[in-house]
Amino acid sequence: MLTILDPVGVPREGAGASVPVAPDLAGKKVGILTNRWKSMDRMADRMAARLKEVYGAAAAPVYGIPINGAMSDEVRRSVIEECDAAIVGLAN
Amino acid sequence: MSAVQPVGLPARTLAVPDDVEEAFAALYEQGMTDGLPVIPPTPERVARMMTATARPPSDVVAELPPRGGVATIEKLAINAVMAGCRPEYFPVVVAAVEAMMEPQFNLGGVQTTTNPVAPFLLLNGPVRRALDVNCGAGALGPGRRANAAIGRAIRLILVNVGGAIPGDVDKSILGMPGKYTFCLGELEEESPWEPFHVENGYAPGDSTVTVVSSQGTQSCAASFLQPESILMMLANAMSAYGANSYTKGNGNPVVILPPAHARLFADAGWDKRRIREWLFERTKIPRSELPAEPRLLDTTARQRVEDGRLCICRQAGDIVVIVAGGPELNHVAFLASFGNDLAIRRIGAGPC
Repeated sequence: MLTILDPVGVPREGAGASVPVAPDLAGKKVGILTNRWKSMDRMADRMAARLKEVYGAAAAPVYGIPINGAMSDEVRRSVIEECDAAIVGLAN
Repeated sequence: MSAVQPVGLPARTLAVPDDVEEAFAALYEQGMTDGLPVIPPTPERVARMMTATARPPSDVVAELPPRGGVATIEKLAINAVMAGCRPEYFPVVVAAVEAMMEPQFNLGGVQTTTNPVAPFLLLNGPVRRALDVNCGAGALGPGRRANAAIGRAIRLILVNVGGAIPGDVDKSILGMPGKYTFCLGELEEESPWEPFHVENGYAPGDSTVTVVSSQGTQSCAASFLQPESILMMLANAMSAYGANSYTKGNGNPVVILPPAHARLFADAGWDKRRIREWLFERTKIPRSELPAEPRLLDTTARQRVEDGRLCICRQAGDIVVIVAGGPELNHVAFLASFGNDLAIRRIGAGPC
């Protein structure tokens, strides 16, 4: 047998766990980011309604992000400053 | 594939059969190849690859989306070995990965879009000759190891570290051949204009890699002697509403002029800027020529419209003009772009 090195890169330990999980959403402002696929727009509307009706979110503002480019620092800052949590979505 | 590991640990070892065909079959079955045979990345070969950099094996170059796989120097070297790279190619591979991680390149989008897009690699500076990079006839075709292996290493890295498994996370509907390899050098020696990297503020003696997400090549037969005739052919080839840059209102369309065409333009007093401006104006598409029905992804509000006509990108300066290809005065080429995402990185910058 031949010994080789594994080419597969795996995520950093704890990746994805660095953001604290919100224990509940009651009274929170939850941003929804959409790149404006129609399907994502529909999901954003429904998520916004459910976040308020079922989870008691205070607001669920929708932020538009580029369809074929990086999110601008301006939008990123707005979401960070204005929201307690955010949903980043793509429904292609 | 979903396991996590502490950063910086050496890659784990795998045992594969000694026989080359069986070793390839074992790697293929684990989804670690692009479908073509690979060089088995033995510890000795990987160590030899890493002699081309001063950076330690555990050094983290990037965490590549969408998986967030940690791209250590060692992981990049393993994939470079598999792709057939010589050690001297390795700094180019590292620089290309760093360029793709520039925020504007939007690698997460490039990796996962339904658009058949791949990073196009443009090499400039002394590295082209040092590595025998093809800048001339057939530069985007088969036959030259540097072009083939550097581009292929990037693809293997995007799959094995970034997790862009075709049909799974890589949602590209059709894919395209440039997803195997997509790399050339600018034919600076035969260009009447300053090289692309010098246009962008680098010194002629710098070596750079530029990455642009591209949908592929469109050749057009432009065997004319008047600059406007050649540009009319190019503009006709470029004016395709289905290209992402029209529907989204931004992009970096790439125009590749072979040296005979470039000299013809220069002799007639044309520079790259004039070419860009001419093409930007003549590639506008009247809205009346397009379907009235909104696309499912309705990007109408984002499109760049001037005088009722859609523009190929945001501004003339976003069009990339380079010189490469064979000596005949015939075919010129155009690469449609995915986004306004061009990024340049000096090869060997930093500790490499």
